[in-house]
Amino acid sequence: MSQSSSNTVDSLLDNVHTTHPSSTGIDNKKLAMWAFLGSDCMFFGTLISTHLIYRKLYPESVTEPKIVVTDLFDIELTSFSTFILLLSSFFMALCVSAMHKGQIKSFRKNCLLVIFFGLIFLGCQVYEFHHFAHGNPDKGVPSLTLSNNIFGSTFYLMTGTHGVHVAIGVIILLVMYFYSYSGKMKTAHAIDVEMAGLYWHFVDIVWIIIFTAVYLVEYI
Amino acid sequence: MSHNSDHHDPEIVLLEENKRFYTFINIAFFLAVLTGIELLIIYVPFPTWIIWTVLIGLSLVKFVCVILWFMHLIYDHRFLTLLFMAGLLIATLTYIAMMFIMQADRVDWDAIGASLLRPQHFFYT
Repeated sequence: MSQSSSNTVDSLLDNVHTTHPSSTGIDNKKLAMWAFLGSDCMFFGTLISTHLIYRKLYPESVTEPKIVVTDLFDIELTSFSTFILLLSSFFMALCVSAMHKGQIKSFRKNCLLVIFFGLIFLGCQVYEFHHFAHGNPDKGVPSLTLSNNIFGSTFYLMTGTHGVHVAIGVIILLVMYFYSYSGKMKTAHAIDVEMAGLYWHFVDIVWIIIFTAVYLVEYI
Repeated sequence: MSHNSDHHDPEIVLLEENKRFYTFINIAFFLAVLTGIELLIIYVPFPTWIIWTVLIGLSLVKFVCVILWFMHLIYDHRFLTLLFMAGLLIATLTYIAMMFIMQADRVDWDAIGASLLRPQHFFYT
């Protein structure tokens, strides 16, 4: 591709990323993202509702194998991963702020921290799933799989879907991080970073609900 | 107020973003404290309904803090809040509806098993 056509493509891309006036007065990308988040609310709402309702209908005493959920859960680990996700949300907010100010270096630093904390969260989830799937025969805690218990089915489906959301968020941020080294990332792209930020914060608020409604209530 | 459409003056943007920086730090600290309280309260020997109420209340506060400040809803167009709240409302109503639809108490598997084992079950019901 010649230099002039490359410049044309760059200027076209810049044009695409620039905020256009819309009939609502809201940037179209932002509107689409909020509509998506609203629909994702319904999606997670259904998953959480299913888990809570089946938890009520089929308590520990009637399910086989008999699983005492509090023996299985490691609330300290889950609290740690919740704290990590909240911290990542803070750095995501700083990441968006840096991009609005046009500070690419600060953007990269914060973006990397968000990716790092996101990976720690995913690591904790993988460890937790592995721990649950194997159980603890020494303490008489049976294994919990996707198919051996109704609690396992709804729990893995809900937390697994959330984990997939986190993984997608990490991939989006990785792409943005590496793209920032191309030299094409400018203040006009702040809206794209803001969209990634909205997605990341949404994943965080879903976890806030899951942490309380699924983990903490088991200890009451 | 729309964050992107109202102004593009770099100086104003810089000033606003710097102000928000301290807000973000305060919110992050507040959220961490709330998570700590949530963790501690489940071990306190209070009546269950109090713990339930506090846990739900703290979760809602955390939820609202994140969507208002971290997700910029407080600075953005009000329509976006409505759009998101519509999804949230439908999700909540779905949960309430499911609670009513599946209001059956604990399933008595023994009784169901016993009734299925009775041969007349298939002829007389």
